Amino acid sequence: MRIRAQSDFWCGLLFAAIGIATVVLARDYRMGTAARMGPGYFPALLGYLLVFLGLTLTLPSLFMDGEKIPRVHPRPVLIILLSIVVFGLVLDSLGFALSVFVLALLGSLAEPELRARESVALALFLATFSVVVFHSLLGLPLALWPNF
Amino acid sequence: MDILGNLAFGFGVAVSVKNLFYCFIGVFLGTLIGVLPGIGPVATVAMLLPLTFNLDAATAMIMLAGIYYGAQYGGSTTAILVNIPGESSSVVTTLDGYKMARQGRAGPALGIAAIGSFIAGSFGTLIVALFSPFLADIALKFQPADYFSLMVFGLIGAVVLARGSLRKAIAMVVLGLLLGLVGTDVNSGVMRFTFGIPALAEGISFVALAMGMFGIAEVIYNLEQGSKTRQTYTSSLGSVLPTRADFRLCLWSIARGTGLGSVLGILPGGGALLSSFAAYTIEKKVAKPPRRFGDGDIRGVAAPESANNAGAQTSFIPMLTLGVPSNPTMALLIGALIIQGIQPGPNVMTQRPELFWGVVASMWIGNLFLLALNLPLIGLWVRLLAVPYKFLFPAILVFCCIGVFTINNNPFDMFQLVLFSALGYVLLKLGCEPAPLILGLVLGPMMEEYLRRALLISLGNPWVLVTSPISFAFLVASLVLLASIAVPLIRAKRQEMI
Repeated sequence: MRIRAQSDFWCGLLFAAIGIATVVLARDYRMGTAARMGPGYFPALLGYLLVFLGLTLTLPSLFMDGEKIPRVHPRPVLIILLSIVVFGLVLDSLGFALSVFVLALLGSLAEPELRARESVALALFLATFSVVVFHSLLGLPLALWPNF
Repeated sequence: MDILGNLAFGFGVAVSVKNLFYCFIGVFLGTLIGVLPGIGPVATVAMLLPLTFNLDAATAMIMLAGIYYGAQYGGSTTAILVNIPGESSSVVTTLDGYKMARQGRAGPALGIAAIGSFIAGSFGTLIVALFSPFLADIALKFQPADYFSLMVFGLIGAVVLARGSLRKAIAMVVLGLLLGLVGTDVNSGVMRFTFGIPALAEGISFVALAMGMFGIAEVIYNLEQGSKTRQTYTSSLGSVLPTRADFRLCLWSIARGTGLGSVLGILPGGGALLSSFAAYTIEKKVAKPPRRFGDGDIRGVAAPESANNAGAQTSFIPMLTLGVPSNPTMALLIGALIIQGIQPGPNVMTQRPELFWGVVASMWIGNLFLLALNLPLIGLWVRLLAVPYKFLFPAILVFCCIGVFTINNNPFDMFQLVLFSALGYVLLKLGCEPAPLILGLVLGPMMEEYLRRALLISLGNPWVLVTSPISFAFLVASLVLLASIAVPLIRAKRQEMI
């Protein structure tokens, strides 16, 4: 069978899958009765609702034409997400200042038009600016420097 | 009535040096970031939210409100000068505003937007002061079932008036409600959906979700579009002050926009977006002479700009009195209140009068700052606009990450940020707007609690939602809203507007 509305089809499947996962996970929590709702009651209710809503998207998408999913460009997606992960990983060891520098430098790779020199200058500026604003001006308790 | 007394009390709170300072900083930073293309008010508020955590609740809310209307106004500047609406609510401003800029009348367009916004904002503030106590009084009589249905109504309203697919928007609301339940269940102490991760015991990081979906996902989405050629009309700003003739022409447009925006802002899902669209549509029909709309008519800027600012003010009414957000920015403010340890709802007004009236009074002061700030600073904003996106996005990335990190100083929150950025990106690609999700996220725990109480009182009989007249009315209103979308005429209108 041909899928005629790509966007609705996959969107519906995603919601239905999350709904099913919720219902399955909610089984671990006491259901209770309507008068005495347990911790599993409301999530399960929402889970079923989400499955139903997912189906109202997926099923019609087989019969009615609809939108396609716009093309995905992997470069910015992967680089931006990766830069945040790296920031989270190095924060404890490299300290705030260097981590921000790394974050900005890595993140700027997402845009091929930026030259290396521009990226470094930008990262340096952002790291300095962040230290001044968040540490010096706002006085947040940040570990600034590497801790080996 | 003692409205005057209350307002005087509010002004007493708002004009303290500290509150004036933070109101000013809020308006300034809000405008500064709101001007940058590709960053809407929601992302701006989310990014600046952490700045307010160390402040007391009233000051924090005053600053956040300032950020909100600053960002709103900043978005209009971008719309007029670069033809890129910072947020959907300034889409209509681009129609005549950008044309004016191309005709060398960017100055008067920006000027009338600021002046119209100030008039509308002042009136909106008055409406908030007049109607909120009334609404809070009614809300205090609500039973749990009524509250539950009110929230259903609020969510449905927000969804119906949002753009895009209705089914997707409702599914996003439900997903948001579910995400709101992650963490420790207050009644049983059971950890729900935490996957054994201790950091999730207190629930999903609200800021991480907002930044991921409105900040990072948006950055990725913009980068994908490649470097678009943007042309800024900066060479000939013209005088910022509109001429006397402009004023006379716009006076009624501003009045109509203000009235319309004030009413529509109170509705769930109303606020700035609907107000500006409706004001422009009506202005095109009513204004005389009707000649030049869409071709650089200054009234096409004055009316929607007044309307969206009036709407932005009055959308505080349901947020402050009922604890129900009518748009994603209000959802963020409710989140901020909860972080401050305040349970939003009708009790805020009686238990924290300094917070409530201080915020109301500061809105007027904030609008004054906005006017005083923007007329002289327009030149600066124009120069900011010339900064290419390739230099901006690393800054947005850095500030989103720092914002999320500094809330708990916990690197684990970065993984939440990545997760929600990825989810937000996938959902954007699938045509799902993030706004309904964040409304659901805020209301999830409250809705569960009210449903639990309602069913406890009724001994498990779900008919309680229908037998209470107030609850029944809200549910019927929700159904009417849903049905209205099915009516072809309204459906066509809704698509045409968007």
